Amino acid sequence: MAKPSNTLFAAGLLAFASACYTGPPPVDSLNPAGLGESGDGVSSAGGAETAGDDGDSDGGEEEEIFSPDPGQIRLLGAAEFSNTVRDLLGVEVTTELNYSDIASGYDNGSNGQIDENLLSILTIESERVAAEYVSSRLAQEFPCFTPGAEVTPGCAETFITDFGRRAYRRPVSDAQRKALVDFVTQATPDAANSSELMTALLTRMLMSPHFLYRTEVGEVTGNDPNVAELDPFERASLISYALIGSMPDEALLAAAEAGELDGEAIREQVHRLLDSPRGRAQLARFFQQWLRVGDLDKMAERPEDYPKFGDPAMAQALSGEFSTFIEEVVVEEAATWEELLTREVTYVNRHTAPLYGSVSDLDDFEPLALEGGERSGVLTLASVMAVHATSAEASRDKPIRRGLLIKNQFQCEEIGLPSGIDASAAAAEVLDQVDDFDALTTREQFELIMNQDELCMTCHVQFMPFGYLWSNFDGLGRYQTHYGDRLLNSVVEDVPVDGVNQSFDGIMDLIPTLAQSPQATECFSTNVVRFASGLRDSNTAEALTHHLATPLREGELSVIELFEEVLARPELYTREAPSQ
Amino acid sequence: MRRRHFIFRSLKAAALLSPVLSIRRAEAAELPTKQGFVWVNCGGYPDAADFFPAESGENFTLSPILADFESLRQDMVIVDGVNIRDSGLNPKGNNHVRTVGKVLTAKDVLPAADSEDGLPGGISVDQLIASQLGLSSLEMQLEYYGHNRMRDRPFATGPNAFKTPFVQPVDAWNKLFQDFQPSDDPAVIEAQKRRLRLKKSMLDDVTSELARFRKELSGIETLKLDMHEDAIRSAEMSVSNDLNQAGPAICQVPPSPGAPVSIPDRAKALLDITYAAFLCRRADIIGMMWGFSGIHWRYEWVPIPNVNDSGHDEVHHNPGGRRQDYTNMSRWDWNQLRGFLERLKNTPDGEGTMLDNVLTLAISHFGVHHHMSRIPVVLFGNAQGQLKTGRVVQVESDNDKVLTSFANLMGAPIAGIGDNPQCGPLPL
Repeated sequence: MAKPSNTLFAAGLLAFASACYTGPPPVDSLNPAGLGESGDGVSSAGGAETAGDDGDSDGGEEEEIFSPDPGQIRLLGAAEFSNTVRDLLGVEVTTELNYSDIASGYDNGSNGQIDENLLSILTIESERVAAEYVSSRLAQEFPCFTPGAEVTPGCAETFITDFGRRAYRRPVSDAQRKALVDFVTQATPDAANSSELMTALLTRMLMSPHFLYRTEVGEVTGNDPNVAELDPFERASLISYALIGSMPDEALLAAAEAGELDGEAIREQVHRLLDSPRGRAQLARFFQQWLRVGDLDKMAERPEDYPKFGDPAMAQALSGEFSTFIEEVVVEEAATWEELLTREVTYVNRHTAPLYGSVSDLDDFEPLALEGGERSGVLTLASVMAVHATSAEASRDKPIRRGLLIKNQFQCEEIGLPSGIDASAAAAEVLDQVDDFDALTTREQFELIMNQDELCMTCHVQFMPFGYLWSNFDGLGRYQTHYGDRLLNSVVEDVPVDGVNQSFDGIMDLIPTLAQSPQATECFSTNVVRFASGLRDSNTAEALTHHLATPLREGELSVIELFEEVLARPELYTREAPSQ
Repeated sequence: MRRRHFIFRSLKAAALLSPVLSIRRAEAAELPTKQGFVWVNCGGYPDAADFFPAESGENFTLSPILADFESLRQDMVIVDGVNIRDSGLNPKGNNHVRTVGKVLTAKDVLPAADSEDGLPGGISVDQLIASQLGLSSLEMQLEYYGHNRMRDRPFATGPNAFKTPFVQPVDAWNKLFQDFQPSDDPAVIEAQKRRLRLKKSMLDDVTSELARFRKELSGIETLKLDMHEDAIRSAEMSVSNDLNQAGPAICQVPPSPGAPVSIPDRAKALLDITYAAFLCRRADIIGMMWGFSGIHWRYEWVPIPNVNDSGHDEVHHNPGGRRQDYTNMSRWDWNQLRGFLERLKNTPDGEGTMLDNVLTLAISHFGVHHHMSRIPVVLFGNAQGQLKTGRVVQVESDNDKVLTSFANLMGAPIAGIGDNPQCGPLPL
């Protein structure tokens, strides 16, 4: 935990968020003390320590102490590296990269490290993409370069300046330019020809820490020597990688160069990127990771490991169902949190319609109204249930995975994995007690086994009841009332939600509670901040969650507006100043 | 690397690779540099008798899991009675994380941002040996669990500093062999040297830039920068070695492995690379994580019947009910190692075979079920005559002593490792 800054830095934040955001919509609770409008000298913004209890700052009496998180450098994640190379060079990364840090819960975590092995992978792939770029595009984009002819110092410098600006996501400094020109001079005798020389230069730049890392360090700009603000280029990169998973585009980079990435200008850029196809795709990536649905694509690629789908096209189609739902409901309809959980629609094609007892002839997705009160919203999509199920048994549910989904992603509570528990004795006892274990429902099987061992129960009781709520949905997300001739039971009692034990009759009974749950909206807000900041636990997440969860729950903010608000908040761009 | 030893191997490699050549024994005036292999698997047996022989000493009956190791009986030391060191800390738990973090470090794992994950508490024995003896290392993994979780990575260069294994065989091959293309053609040799010089210039230049970058950051993120610098330094060293060695074809480079998909194919590719790396002296100490802790393979290639979803969930979590299935799964794992070791044994090297010069530590991070006690430990190879093989040794020890023994046999004079740096070796 970073040490609290005792300095009142509202003035600094005011300067940073010069125009201060005004919109949409004007929710009082979105304007916390000292952030943008009070001008009353109140406070650094609130992370862990909050004097007030409801986020209402009127009167200026409630001080919130915000301790900025330490500065960091963030290694481009695997997807970010690939996207950036593609945007920078127009060349696709072909090697399979799997090095991303996911400690934040998302694959753009901030704790990525380069060791000898990763360096080898990145160097070899960089050499390959550099050679491809030089042979296919360099002469077009830099006419001063002629294959086979000598690389002139002027041409090398032009390339370093123009390409470097985009690769380093900020203008190349004079010192950097000189170092790279010197490298060209030094490398020339060992290069077989001009193409090899330019390939070496380009590889060298792709191996630069200025390419591989994005910095979130900032500089002290206000009166408080402990507080630093990210510079415009750092802000541009933070916005861009959060919202499109790649380097800043020309408009964003130009805004940074013009010093126009403050306050309302940030909001405009955020809005523009969120509204772009790549922004929408990145949003879908967030949701895929939040609900852990991204595995469907892997399942489609390995049908032998996931025989329950029968046709791998079904796994692919379920992935498409989820993406379409996010695109239509979250983006197009600008769903609120409640609507995300209760909207009675899904999108089916010929592979997935039968899972809903429907029929479609189409490969494309078409809307299907969810009628009958059996389903609503994202948590009853077949895609979500199918991914949280077994790989082989289509007819069975999987209460462990589904229960953990609620516990981890809607309550932000974690359950450690089993430690030294010998399930064999419990299983053996169960087998002695029942004639036909396989005929039992999944819930009956689990309850029998876990009741044999108190140690099992200690952990499982915390999340299994949430999983039992989905007992009526099988491993492909189909609704069912019986398993064989046994009635399925989805009633659970004494399940803790928002600190109160409650009883529910099936997932459809839980959903309205989650839609109004402070814990669930805080957890979702925290997840959005994790995705943006790369940090699992941070003062920034605490502060932003404190301010944004209530308007999200009350529908004053739509889900997509929550992303906009998170990216527009000044706390996201504030860091503890590095010690000198 | 000692070039003369390299030539020994290469002569034999040429003989092995060319059926018309007979294997020649080179005269060994001195012993080749020792090499080491650390093979980590899950372990976890239903009953100790499934893995450990009932007898100790030289007259023992191979257990069901090791039943096929008759050909290596005289080349192995089975160590019975080793526990993963348990300091009593980290009470909350996830042994999948804890044991992987401890098995090669003997050090408690450090908390990670994700409470279901962990970070290494100290350096792993393979990296310690490489560091102390100036050896090159390679780390590989048969399959990964997620994106670089603790349960994927027993290898570490220090606290919080993973050494992430290669998952794709082609990436490991690239590191070892892409810049290593021996040839008899002077023009090819010169072209190779030129490319290596170019690469070295690039690495030197990045090193300088990284130092400037560090200054700009005013003291933050030093661990990341330290790791990055170490990585570049190792790469530079490797390029420098290659520059010195570029020359005639003294070792035939194996073909690139392509992109094997199935577990058996991937296992074969990684073990082939391991063999070639030792043979061609491209790595002196190699670590291999046999999948990850809690592998979900269904072992349909054995085959194991009635595994619908996951061998781990359905068999490992039900050891009492499926004891024989578990034995068969585990036996397949160990038999892949056996095939590799037999290959070493069949490759002459110096006065003996590669098995005499490549010391292998096979170690599991689980004992019975998910417990940390009585983990499978087997040493293969006599460490150039230093280790008396062909026996079962009964001990009462934490894994730190096993790791210390392995390091000592490799020539690294450490007094201990991990939480107990003076633990000493096992009485082997």
